[in-house]
Amino acid sequence: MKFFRLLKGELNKILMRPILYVITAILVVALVFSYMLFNPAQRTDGNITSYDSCETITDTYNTFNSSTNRYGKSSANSLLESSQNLISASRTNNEGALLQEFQELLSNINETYSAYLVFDNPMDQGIIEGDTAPGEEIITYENLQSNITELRDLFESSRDDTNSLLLIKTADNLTLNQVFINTTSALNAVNRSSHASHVELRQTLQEIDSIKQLTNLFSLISYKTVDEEKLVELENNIVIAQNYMNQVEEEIYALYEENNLDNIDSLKELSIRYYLIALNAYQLTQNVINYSYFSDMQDSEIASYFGYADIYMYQINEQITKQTYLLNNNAVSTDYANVFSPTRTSNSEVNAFDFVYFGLEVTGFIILIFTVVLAAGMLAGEQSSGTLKLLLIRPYSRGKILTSKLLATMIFATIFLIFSTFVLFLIGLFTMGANFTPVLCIFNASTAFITSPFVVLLIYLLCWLFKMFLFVLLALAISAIFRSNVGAVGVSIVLYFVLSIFALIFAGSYWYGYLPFSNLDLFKYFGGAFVASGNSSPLSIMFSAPYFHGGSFLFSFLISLAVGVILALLTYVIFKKREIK
Amino acid sequence: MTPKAQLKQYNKSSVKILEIKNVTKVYKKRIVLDNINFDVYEGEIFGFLGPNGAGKTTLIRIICGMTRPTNGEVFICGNSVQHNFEKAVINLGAMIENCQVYNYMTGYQNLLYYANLYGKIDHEKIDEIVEVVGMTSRIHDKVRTYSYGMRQRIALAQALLHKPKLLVLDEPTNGLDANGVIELRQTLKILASKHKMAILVSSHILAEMQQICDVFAVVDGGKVLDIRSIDGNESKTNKDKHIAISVNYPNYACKVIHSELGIFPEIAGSSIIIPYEQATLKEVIDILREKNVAVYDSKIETKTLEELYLDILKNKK
Repeated sequence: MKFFRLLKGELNKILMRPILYVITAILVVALVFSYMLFNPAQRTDGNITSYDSCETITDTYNTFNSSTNRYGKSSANSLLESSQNLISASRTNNEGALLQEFQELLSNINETYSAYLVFDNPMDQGIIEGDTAPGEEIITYENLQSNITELRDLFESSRDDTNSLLLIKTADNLTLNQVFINTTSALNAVNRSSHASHVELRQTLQEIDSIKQLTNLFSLISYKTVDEEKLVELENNIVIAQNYMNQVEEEIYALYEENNLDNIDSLKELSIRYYLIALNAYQLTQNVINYSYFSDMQDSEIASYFGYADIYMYQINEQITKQTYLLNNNAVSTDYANVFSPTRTSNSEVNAFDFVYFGLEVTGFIILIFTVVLAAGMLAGEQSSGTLKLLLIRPYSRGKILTSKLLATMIFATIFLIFSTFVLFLIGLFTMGANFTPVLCIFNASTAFITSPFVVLLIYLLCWLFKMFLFVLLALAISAIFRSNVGAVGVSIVLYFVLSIFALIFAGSYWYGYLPFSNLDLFKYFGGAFVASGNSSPLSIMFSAPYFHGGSFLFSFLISLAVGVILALLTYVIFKKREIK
Repeated sequence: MTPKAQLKQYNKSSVKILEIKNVTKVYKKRIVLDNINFDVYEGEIFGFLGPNGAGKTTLIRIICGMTRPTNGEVFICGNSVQHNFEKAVINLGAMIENCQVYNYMTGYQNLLYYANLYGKIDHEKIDEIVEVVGMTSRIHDKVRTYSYGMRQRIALAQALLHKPKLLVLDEPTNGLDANGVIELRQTLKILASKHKMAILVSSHILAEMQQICDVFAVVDGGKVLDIRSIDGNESKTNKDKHIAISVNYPNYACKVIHSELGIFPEIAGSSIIIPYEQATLKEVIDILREKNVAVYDSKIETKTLEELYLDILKNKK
């Protein structure tokens, strides 16, 4: 018998179910409600305000050249210098020279140390003790070891910020910084760059009670080396960046000479661009070196230092790919929109696409629940109400009946999703306009590609549908096994929540990545591991990043597919063998 | 005579629509059906009788493909339900117990839905069926507003939509009013005679079955005890007949017969009933007259279905 007839019948049945209209009504309410909830944070990577107050060409140009401008020419150049220093340091490290130095230092453990408080973000001018400006010495210890508790308290009190405590030995000319890092933002500290002007040794610590641990840590890291090949490549990158910066500087100068006020915005843009190129090169250098260090460590080692080994590894890799792409294409991150975080906007201006993603995050759960309700109703519901019997005596095999129900549910799920997207986009279009700046996607942390935001939206929808498909299979499986409508829906909902909480608790352990639920979200492999603007909260990392060392799109896809196949087979077999009473 | 032979003697058509071959069903070490064998022919209304728990519903489920037999096979128009389901079931229309149509749709929408599953059933045909089951006035109301009897009619309608060659009915008169019962009877007879449908009916209401069925099988303990035909008197054996004699003193007449012939007649009002195989009419009248019992009326009657049914069950024991 033609399968299409069966499918058409199932679709018609859904259309006539009153619950469909309840669902649609609730969905519309939720969509409108999401507009009221929408409160996006601005993207900060391009958020350089140094030039905001400049009103003339000359003003802008002078600000650009000023040495007090944190985002000006001199800062940019010192970033490049720091990059070179990092590379040199790695080279030196390769020769074990740094180790020697450090061991000498350790032997002078009773030397005087000064504690400095340093701030990551110049915007966060929080102060711990007294009115101390960044960089200023606040405490001096005669004897480090006897004052270790006090120092620790100081550290603890600054722990919740993204600040770091720098210990700098002042005894002699050898300036070697040892960094006490907030254990949950290790990379942030490692990436922190703007204020350090010395050569820095990158280390992380878990406890500050014993200097010996410091030694162990250092010896661990200092034996790791970076391939000379890579270091050479990094040096080339700096050259590329420098060339591009020179180009930009020429354009800046040209605009300055022209002194046409109409061009002031371009001038400001170029000035910012100059800095961002340098920043990009610096971050790339850091990431490559860090990655080299960490990739030699065991997952357990990394996890014990950072808590989330795998996430960071994928994250660094993704960043490297992105930064390399930007570098090689004479671009900066603000050239592209960012759609990978529900709370940050693309290209620093809120637009319809951001709203669509936000709205779908909010209503996505509702759509998922309703799809599950539909699916359960189609199988368990019909079983309990007795209508299934009249379907089983028709000339269609049980397999065909199941498939038609599955397909019908997925068709409606797709319709719901498209409908929601459409409504959200319209709302967004009329209230905030749309921005069609292309998006830079990083697929699987290894492939960079530019595409229209519509394509990214399409990818997002497909990933959502994939996820829903698996939940529908789950609902059908439970329906087939337990024959309970309420049960199927209830279990699916509970499972969704339980697994989400599970993710929060266990995200660090590396067996977690093998579980089906952690692999459901495929969208994160398109650039979601790290949002374009720098810091990302642990929460968004956990939900977005892949969960194990070597996590890849293919792996997640195959695991999810396997789960789907198992569920489908289970459903089919149980339903086929069932004796209907 | 074996049940099969009896049937061969009876049947009007020789086309087998339903064949039950060696069907056995064992469920948790209990034998629910034990080697069932029978056929239903084109144009025949086959009654399926038996006490509760005899296995009737199970067999119907097996015929419809809802349950799998432990052994044996069911064929509809030559296609095996177990191995060639789709081809077999296309000739099947069924009204099984406790089946429901969709409450949130109207009767008509339900029928449209089922019709669509077969294709090529246009609105005219559906309207026809609606008329046949007598639901024309309420067909466009939602099913949840229907009474039980109305739902039964819709259930029958969905079974007839695709003009199946085999119609299987489980307690079809349930919930029908007197008119409904009569209409159903008439409908089934037309379906069998004019449309040559083979109809298998399972019911407890023997009086109705007597009126509808051509052949009936009695099932108990998972076995087919006997298959008989309900037809004119010609093909009846002595087993199916009894003598009914209307007398002035039935009790006394009983005593007399008992002492003379050693058998116990039954009393029905002012008549005594004696199974035909136990004595001839002449014998009995002679004895009664001898003993001065007034005989007002005498006749040889065919046993009712109920009597046959009870006979068969008794014989089993």
